[in-house]
Amino acid sequence: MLIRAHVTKHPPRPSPYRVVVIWVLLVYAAAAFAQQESKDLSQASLEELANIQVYSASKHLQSVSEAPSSVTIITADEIQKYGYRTLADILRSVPGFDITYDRQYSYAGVRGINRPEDFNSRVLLLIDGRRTNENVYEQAMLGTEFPLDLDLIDRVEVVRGPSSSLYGTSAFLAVINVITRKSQQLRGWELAFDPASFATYNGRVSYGGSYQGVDMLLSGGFYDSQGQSLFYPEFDSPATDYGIARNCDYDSYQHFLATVSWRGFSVQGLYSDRNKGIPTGGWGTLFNDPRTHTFDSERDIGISYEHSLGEQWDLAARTYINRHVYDGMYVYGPAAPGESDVLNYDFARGTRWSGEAKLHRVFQKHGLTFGTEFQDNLQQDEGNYNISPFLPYIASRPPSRTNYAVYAQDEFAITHKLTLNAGVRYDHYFNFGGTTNPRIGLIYRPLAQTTFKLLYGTAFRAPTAYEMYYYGMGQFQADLGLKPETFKNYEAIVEQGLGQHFRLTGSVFRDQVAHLITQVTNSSGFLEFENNSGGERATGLETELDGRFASGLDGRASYSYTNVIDTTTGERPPNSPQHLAKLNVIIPLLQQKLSAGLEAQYHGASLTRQENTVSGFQVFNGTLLMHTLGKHLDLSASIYNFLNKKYFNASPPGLTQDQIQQDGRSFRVKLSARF
Amino acid sequence: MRGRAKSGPEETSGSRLRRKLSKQDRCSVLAMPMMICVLLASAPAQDVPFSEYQVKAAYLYNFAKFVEWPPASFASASANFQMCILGPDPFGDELRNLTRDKAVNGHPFEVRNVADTLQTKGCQILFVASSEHKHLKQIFDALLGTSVLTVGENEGFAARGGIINFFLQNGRVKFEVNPKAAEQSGLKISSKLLSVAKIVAV
Repeated sequence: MLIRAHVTKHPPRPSPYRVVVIWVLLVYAAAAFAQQESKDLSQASLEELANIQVYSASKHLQSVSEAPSSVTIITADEIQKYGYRTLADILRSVPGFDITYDRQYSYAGVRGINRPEDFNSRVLLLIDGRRTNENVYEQAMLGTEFPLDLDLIDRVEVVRGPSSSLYGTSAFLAVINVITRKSQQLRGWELAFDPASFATYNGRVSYGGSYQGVDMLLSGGFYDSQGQSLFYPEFDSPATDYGIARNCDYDSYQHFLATVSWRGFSVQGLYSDRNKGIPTGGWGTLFNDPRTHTFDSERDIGISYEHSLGEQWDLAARTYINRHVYDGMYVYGPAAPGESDVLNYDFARGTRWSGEAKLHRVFQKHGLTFGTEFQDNLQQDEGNYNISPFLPYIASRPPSRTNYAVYAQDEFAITHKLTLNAGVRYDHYFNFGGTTNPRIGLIYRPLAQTTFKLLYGTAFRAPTAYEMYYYGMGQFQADLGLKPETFKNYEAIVEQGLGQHFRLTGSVFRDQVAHLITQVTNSSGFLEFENNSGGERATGLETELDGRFASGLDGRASYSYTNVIDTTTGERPPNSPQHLAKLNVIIPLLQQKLSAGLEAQYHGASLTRQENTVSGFQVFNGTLLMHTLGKHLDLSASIYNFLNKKYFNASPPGLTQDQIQQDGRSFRVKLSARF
Repeated sequence: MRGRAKSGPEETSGSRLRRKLSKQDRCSVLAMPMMICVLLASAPAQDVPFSEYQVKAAYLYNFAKFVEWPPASFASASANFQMCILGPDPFGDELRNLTRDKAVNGHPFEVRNVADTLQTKGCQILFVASSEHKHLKQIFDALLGTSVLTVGENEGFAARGGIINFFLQNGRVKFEVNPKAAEQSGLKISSKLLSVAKIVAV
């Protein structure tokens, strides 16, 4: 029996809390301003200068102007000062990004396009330039499923817009490049321990050192969260514990990272295990059963080489192996009364071997890049069966398949004020043949502080192994003739520096997604994928104000408006908020001994799959970071959602709940030591 | 990663959701401000931390003191010592504040912003902002035969012909020197500066 949910919310009344918060921010900002004294370092000796700890890392705000796209950079310093716990937390602060969570994985929407059932396959996640989306679902892991400790990140570069001209598939809506700290940046030992709400403990030990010219960085970390008891009204009945799921929201991981470099060579291995209980009772599983969980493990190893041949040529080559293990256990009620529960096991094993070589040449006014890449999918196995009595549903072991690509890019400095950035990439896939994707950007800088950019680019998303093979029994079946999804982007950007400290950016864009691959339920009640002729069209604008002061006062405010239409229905699709507004401010206090990192995010109303409304909501986060004990110890305390706002995210298909309530107020305390 | 072969039945109903602050969270709300107060009270007095560009500005001032320019690079004995910044200025007021009313060897300091290499005539130090590092070849070509101390802050700046390059190590600002490039520009770097620098062999 299907009952439509009535979840209507009244618009919130203006809260006194909000007024207080704004005043507090203004007072602190004024206080920070007043504290800006000019300090005289001219008396310091060279040795003294070399020993001064500087806490604001270079962000190179200016270098972002050179990129032919909308770029946001988040530094290691900001990660500490804003108290970010996961990559998803970091992305929540990026303009145009909208992160949703269903108590299992975090999903990224960019500029109004968010389809959680596609597992973030339209966002490319790179670690040190290596593709990290695994090769069965092409999923970008963004929450606690992300395989690195945030303290090991030097910076995150988020490029909004299509980048298939450089990276190929999945560089559709955005590219997220996570650059890790190298041993030169982490010398000696680092220990960190952070307990947080919901019986959460997080610990890390890292070491960076150099022996005989070999630099190495080693790090191990663990995370264990008991989670919360969660109430879901959709299950509020005596048979299902009155809607309360207890001990089902557990989340734990172990991480290990090793980076060794010598001359131009660098070897990096990473290992991550993450186990998450599922409290939502999705897909008809038994509600409040802690045995239902998913386990994801990432095991990567790669070697890269960089060399400058004289003053004009740069060579970079890398080869790496990504291996992903996914195990899911889903507990269903017994087939007949008196029998035991049915345990359903769902799994995937993916192994991909990739290689890339890139040559960069500068001559006269051109900066040329030529590259070639291959991806050999050695394994893309998927399976699903009931454990006892054994009943298989899916067994799929496709043969090894390799994709190839070549790409080229030219940065042409036509005049000193006008640059043309043009690139194109050709990818070849065994099933649908080839796809060519260009990107062109015209960058005009009439004044030192003013930049205009005009951009056009296309991208593609190849059908994933999951979309091609996850059904039926036997070896594997034909891939149903699925074609890649396509993406077209037109964008115009203006950047204007205001005085010494501020920069204002505005952009208007139009995005078109076509040939969407969607899940449909066929006549036998099984899920199947087909290549729709439908798509989505997004038109919008983004505006951002950045500010930086020498005292360490640093902030960013952004607003984005996106209007997305499903081209088949003419309606707004689910998960697409029209308005997003974000504010981030770091305020140095007490002569820079203390820093306050404040975040405010407004997320406009959006629709659920059942066409109900998820009300708009605001989230405020705050972190106080203190450097103490001769700069060897950092202590921070963070509050997340400090107004304890009750808010929801629209849920993906498969869940009974139309909307999932998100966390209320929570805390974290973190201690890190360096020596 | 949770595709199930069959989609489950759907049932929904509406009612209010409840959420209370757990006992653990209540303790944390009280504990946190108390902890901060205790720590602040017990923290020893210490040096005020500086920002990255305050330290780099101080280094530039030191480079002016510890590098020798050929006499021909100054228009006169009392001509200004010009510190030029190529590209968007990351220093803010720091460099100007540090060098105000100061001089080196009788040359008063002047800080200028330049948009391209055509405007670098007369610069003693040229700080190349990070965004300009793509045009390094053009920049160094334009400076051939002149005695300009080029300072950068990008990986590979010194290897490509720049003279001094800043880098960060464990949160401290350090620099590397390309002595060959200095020699080719007719500049003499004092051993005092070389002794604290990382040397780049090209």
